[in-house]
Amino acid sequence: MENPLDIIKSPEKKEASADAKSVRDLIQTFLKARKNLRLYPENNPIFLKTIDEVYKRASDILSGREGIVLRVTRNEIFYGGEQVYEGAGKEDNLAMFFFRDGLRELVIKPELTKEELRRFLGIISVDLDRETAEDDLVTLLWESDFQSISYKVDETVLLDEDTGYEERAQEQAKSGACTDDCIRQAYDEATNEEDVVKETMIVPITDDDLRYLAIEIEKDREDKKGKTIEIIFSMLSRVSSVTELKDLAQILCGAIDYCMKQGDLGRLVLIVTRTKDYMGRASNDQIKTQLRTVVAYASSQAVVRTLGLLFESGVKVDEEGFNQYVSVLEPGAVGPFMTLLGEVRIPSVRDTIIKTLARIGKNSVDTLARGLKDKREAYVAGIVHVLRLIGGRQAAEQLMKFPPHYDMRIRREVVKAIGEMGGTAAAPAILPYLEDMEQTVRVAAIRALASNGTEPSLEVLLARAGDKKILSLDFDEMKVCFEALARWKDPKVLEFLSKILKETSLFNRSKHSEQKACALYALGLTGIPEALPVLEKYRDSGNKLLSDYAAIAIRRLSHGR
Amino acid sequence: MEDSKLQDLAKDLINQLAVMVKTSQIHDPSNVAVKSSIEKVTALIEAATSSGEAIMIELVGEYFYANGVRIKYSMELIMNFEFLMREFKKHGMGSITFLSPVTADEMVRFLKVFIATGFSAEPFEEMFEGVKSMNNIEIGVLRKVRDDMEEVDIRKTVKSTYFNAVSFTQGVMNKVRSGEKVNIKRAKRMMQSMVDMLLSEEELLLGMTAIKDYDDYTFHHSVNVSILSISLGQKLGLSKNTLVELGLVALFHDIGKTEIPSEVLNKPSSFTEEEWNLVRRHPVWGVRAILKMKGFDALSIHAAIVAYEHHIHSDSSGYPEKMYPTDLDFFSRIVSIADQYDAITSARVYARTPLPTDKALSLMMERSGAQLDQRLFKFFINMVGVYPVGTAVLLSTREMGLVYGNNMAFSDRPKVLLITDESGNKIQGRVVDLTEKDDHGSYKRTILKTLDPHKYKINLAEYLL
Repeated sequence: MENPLDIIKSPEKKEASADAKSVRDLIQTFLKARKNLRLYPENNPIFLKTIDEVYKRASDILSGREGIVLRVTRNEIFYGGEQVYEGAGKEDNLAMFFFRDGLRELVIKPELTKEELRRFLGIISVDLDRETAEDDLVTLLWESDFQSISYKVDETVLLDEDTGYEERAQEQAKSGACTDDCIRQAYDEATNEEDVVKETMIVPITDDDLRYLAIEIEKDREDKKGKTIEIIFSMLSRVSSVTELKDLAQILCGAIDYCMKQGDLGRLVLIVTRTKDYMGRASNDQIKTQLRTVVAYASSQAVVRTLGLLFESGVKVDEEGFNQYVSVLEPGAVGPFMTLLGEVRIPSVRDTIIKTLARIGKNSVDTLARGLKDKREAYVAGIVHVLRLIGGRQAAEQLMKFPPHYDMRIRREVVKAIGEMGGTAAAPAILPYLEDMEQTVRVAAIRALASNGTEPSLEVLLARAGDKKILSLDFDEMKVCFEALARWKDPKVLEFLSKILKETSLFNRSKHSEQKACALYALGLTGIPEALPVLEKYRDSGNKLLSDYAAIAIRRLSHGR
Repeated sequence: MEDSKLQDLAKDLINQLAVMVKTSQIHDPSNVAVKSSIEKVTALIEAATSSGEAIMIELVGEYFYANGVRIKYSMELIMNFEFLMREFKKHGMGSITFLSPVTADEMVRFLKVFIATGFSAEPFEEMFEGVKSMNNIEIGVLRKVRDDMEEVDIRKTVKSTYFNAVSFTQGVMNKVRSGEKVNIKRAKRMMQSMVDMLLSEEELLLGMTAIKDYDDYTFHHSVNVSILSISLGQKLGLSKNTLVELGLVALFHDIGKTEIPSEVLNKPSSFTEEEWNLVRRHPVWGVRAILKMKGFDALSIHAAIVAYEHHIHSDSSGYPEKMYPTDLDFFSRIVSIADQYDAITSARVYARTPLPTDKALSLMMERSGAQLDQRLFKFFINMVGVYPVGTAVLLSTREMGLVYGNNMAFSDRPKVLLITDESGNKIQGRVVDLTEKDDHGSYKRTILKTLDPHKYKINLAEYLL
């Protein structure tokens, strides 16, 4: 290969400078484009505008030329012997990006199309430094098979194997060279035999052969995961050593990972169920132990995290496959899913994780409850939601033990859940929430008592509605309390409401009127016809508030009837 | 004209030109089939020149270019593209340019000249005279892709590519054996070079697979199978990227042999039953090695399948036992053919005597159907050719030689490296072209018969390396 420095050293004509300047500008537009392409997705207007701009610039520079030949050294790029890029010390050194994979010359021809330019810019924007990158720059350029971009590569950068191999192998192969005698003997034997011209063996290719080929090539595009899994299970059935067994278990874990990355949950489930099947039939404990690791792996942090990435990438995950996956999850999956709950950002994905945790966490309430101590509000709210969906005494106990959280939304959710699930033990747990500084929480607590519907809850409500402190609340909050009482169609409630209506007061009359209006409203909600005479009496009251609420209650009763 | 439009138009034009030449070689110009093909060609030329620009179809190496753009073709057009390529080469014609629309009469005149010059001693010169008077058609001579000095360099590059691949394979196998990480980026780069090399220098690279006198059989075998598979894949019309995948998959097909103790693998005598049982495990070990080395991705999955299936026969016999209903993978069937061919023409496979190429192909032909994919094997035979590079031959002049390079237009008249003179004296190789004719128009040399180089202890490496 030509040494680029030879050209650099040669004196260039003056006209080349203007040329070099335009090429320098072109490289700068490449660099700008590289930044934009890394920032924006392909359909983003900025991405598209960037391509248009670079293409225009490139077309202008290329028109009237045979092409641009760029020579690459470690830190510099040269055009016609002049430096057009200097990258030493730069973090994103374009020259080094080209150089390290062996690229030494890049030629851009005037026939460059916009599509080719887009692909080229795409390639130089790839982060090839990352560990997982399987291709280098030259591979990507090769795979693109550009018509208008060519390059020269120094392949010696790849030589890290045995450099003297070629010489040695040739020497060894030639060492058995035939002697003159040997050739003579061969010649004599060959010429003494009868002369026969070798029959031509070429078989003509027919249209049928081509049709067959077309079908086979098409078939070859089909997914090959299924067959690979079949092969692995075939191998499992004939495993002959512990090492082999361990390797196969590790390979099956890899297969699970791969299926998850591909969103092929159906196949992932197949691996788990077949492994379980093998486990069931295995007579040997060592086999069982190894296979157990495979089954557990499907529920591991790594696999669940991949699921999260899959969900958040927007790839449509097959619902049936996902449901099947959840059905094969182990209790150990609760922890990973809890972690995932704290990581996902998309609300619909969060909902899916919550529902999944509710499905798999029924026997892991204690583990789930540990999440209540977390500092992230959204996460704790999620866990509360999970416990609420799980329901039952155990989940309720965990929530009742949970001290009121500093976040109002969580307190509201917790009290709701306690009301729903706490049974007769809920009322005392709800009490602190009735004194909450936030009205929405207090209202939620009242409603929680109503939804709880037990005798102790009624007692708490009656006490609250009858307490003088209720007069300090605003009308709406007071109304909620009476509304809650109406849930109980109980003589005790009727008696209490009647008592409120009969009470007279000299002080704070307007608040007392509000209390009575709430009682009238509650009577309407009870749906008990016996309340009608009392309500009719208040409908004709001179107090507008009372008369209005009595009318509302009568309408409701009539409607209910 | 946009590149994509030009691609489509030129692809059709090359295809139709081939059809037209083919039918004209069989029928008279007044025949309906010829007329119809001429109509199609002239219509395509009219479309291609409608903007006032000429269209030039040029043959460079093994590719057609239209106005400088390389024309890619799909699998169903292979036969016609290759036919036209052979015709161009036979006529020494490198390009044909249609300056503006061509009439049917003009085309008939051109065809008459083309067919008449097909077997002349100087086809291009005669054709040039015939075409000179035509207003809308010009032809150009076939450019010699390289001169002799360049040929020496190319041979050197091919050898380096081959030995680099063997050295790399050795490195990979050693790493797999010791549980080290393998650099797949490098494997891909190496295979891309190999595919490039094969597309431009197929014969030379195939010639490298003919030399079987190395100690490191397993590594050379892996590379040979890779080259033979890519070459077959190319004949089957696979894309360049697919050829790289096929080459890599083939390279790793025997990676499971790293688990077979070397004293068994390199045993000079026949295997015991116990040793055979070990050898028969290598496909299974191959799957393990590949999936452990690379984890799961499209390439490793394909490689694992081929490693597992390459000894399973079409009728499901062979080893290991095939416990699933799906057909053998397409790549497995390709690699299986390449593997068998290289194995039975090599000296160190489980201590068997190697067969000369023609006998190997005959044996494989018998086995095809039950063991090998019959149709793919037909393509393989066409790929290897009548006289594969390295075939030892006795010529009508009583000179002995080795096939050195094939001739696409005349498959039975390859280039031959002479190793003896007509009296049987060993000579320093001189390459002769069997298409060469004497002053009377007769061929100077013709192959009389093929010889088994192993039987006569002819060391191919001495001549071909």
